[in-house]
Amino acid sequence: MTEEKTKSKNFTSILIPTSLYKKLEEKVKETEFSSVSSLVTHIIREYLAKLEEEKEVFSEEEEEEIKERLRALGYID
Amino acid sequence: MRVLVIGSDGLSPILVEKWIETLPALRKIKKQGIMGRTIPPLPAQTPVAWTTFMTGVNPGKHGIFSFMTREKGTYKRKVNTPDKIKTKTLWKILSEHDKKVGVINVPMARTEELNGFIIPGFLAKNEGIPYPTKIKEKLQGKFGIKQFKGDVEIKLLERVKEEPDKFFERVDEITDIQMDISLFLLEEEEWDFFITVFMGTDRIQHFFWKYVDERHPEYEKNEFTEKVKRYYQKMDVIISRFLENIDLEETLFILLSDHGFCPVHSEVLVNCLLHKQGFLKGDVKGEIDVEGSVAVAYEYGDVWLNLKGREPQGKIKPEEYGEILQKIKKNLEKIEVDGQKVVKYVATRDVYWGPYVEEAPDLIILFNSGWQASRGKSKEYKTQKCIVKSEKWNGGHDGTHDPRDVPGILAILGHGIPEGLEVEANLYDLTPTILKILQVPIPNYMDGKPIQQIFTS
Repeated sequence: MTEEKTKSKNFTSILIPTSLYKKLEEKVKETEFSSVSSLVTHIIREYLAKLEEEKEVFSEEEEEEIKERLRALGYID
Repeated sequence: MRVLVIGSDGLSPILVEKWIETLPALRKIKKQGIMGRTIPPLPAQTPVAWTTFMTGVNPGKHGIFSFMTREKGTYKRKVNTPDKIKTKTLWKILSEHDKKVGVINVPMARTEELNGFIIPGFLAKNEGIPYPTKIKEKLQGKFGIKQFKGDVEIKLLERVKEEPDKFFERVDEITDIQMDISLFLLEEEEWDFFITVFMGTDRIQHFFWKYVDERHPEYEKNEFTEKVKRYYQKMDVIISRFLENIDLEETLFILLSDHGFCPVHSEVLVNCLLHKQGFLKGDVKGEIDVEGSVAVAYEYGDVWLNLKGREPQGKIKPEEYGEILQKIKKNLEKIEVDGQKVVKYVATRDVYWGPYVEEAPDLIILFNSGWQASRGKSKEYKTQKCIVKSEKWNGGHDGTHDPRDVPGILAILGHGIPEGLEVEANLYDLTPTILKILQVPIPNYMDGKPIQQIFTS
């Protein structure tokens, strides 16, 4: 598979304001990222990860359910 | 290069060695690759060990010291769930470097935004729910299931003694489903790193260890010996199925477990000892007076002091802390039964390093093989005898034994791997090793080092 074909299969374009792109273009020079695209990919992944992390916090009820399981396994009394 | 990891919770190198002649896949790896041991962190417990594996750091840096912890500034006991892990996972780091990952049923692995997919494991809030959704749809299309929980249901666990056959059957069934799902996703998805962790070995051994370990005073060879052996043979078949499905020229194969097992015949009621030694007192209701005591212990041999300025009703002045700590340690280390030492040593927080050391218990008791901190009777303190027969479990590891007494297994096969080599590695060496194989920079904060023997040729 050629590089172009791989690219078209795995990547897609999004639109962002040119002024924002220019800002990021400047910023990217101070980072380990090689391009604005990889910096933006990183930012989006971080954002999505944060949303998932917020969902991962246990409620009291959910914690009780886990404790029930640990009790059945003999891990706690 | 790609990396495939098969995890088996609690798979014991002792049993592999003992039954190697009946385990053809493992025999092949022993001959053609590396067969060695992993040293778990302290305590050698499933959540601590897998977190150590997946982060490449000691508990002082990832913040998971046990199944349970004391909530800061309170006396409240809380479960340590994956949202409490303070350090990045191996799969997150790989994703950030554009490597494709597949993660199935790793204890303490939770839903994360990855460059790939994850089915969260034991103790995760979304345990068994594939993420992203397209994986859920694929599993539904192929197997008719939306969720996969790789563990035995509570009801069966509670009736293991009454219905052992049902328990073994269910463990087999879950293991088979997990193998099918894993092989399907291995084939279906793109990946540079793929891991699937089976829980059966751990669950079986906690209840049936005395039938396979001659060191156990109640060792008895019977039908259960055969059942445990047959499960090891099943794991061996699974290993061979994965080996058939990868090209060893371009994929490194790693089998590992987070810890092994040792016999457990007696339980120690640590609070009973602390009471007799004057460190713990009861309240008017006859329960442990946590707020009024100097020290209290919990299910894993973890002892927490009641320190002024740290605990809400602290009893010990900071200047007394060190002395009291040493006193408790010395008293516990002295205990003997029939001339045998019960406690191997009592660890202080000094065994850890990193920003979260202060979240660790003040003391962790490491018992000699045969004894463990009582689970079912951890709140009893007024009884005459502080050491009783273990009723529920006969094999252990978790948090009450020296990690070196319960090592896990490490088996590696692939192109350029030295033949017939024995290796011992810390669990936190695995993440840096895998990063190096996949040519991803190893972050400076990591405690582990790549296993050099892999890179010699």
